[in-house]
Amino acid sequence: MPVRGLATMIAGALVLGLTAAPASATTLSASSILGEFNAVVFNNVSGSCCDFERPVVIGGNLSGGGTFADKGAAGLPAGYGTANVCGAATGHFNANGAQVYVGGTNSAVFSGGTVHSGYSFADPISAFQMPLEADRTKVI
Amino acid sequence: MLAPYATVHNSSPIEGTLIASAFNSGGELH
Repeated sequence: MPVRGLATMIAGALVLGLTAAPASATTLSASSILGEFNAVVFNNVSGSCCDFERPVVIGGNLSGGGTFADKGAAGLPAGYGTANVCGAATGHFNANGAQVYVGGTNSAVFSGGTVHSGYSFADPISAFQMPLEADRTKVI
Repeated sequence: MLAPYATVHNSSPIEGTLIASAFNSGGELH
């Protein structure tokens, strides 16, 4: 298939995804998820070099160390910050002025960040998965 | 990188957006 045709198909799928109604409190679409977040991880994130340049959503726990750069947060849906952890957080991170939301227990250090622990997210992590799944099936 | 069912491990930077089941980071994500 020519590259242009494939690009048209993907763009069409993303447009269709914008019209889908995800079961969430905010309007999460495949294009907004892919455009506004650096990573969406449905379960755990670990490692000693968790350096993220843009906002992330983590469905499970965060552990290890690294850096969250406070970039791109202005365009996020309401109720999300640079680091969004649905589970617990452990470790030591440079947060660089970022807003950090932790749904579970926070025993991590986020240097330079503002931490909101015990936070209730507007959307379950599945709200991030459904728009992507819907568009994947349309593309394939 | 669309890998919603995979555990991703990197040892060098990833340029772009990552969608994964789990992520064991050994490098940066840009």
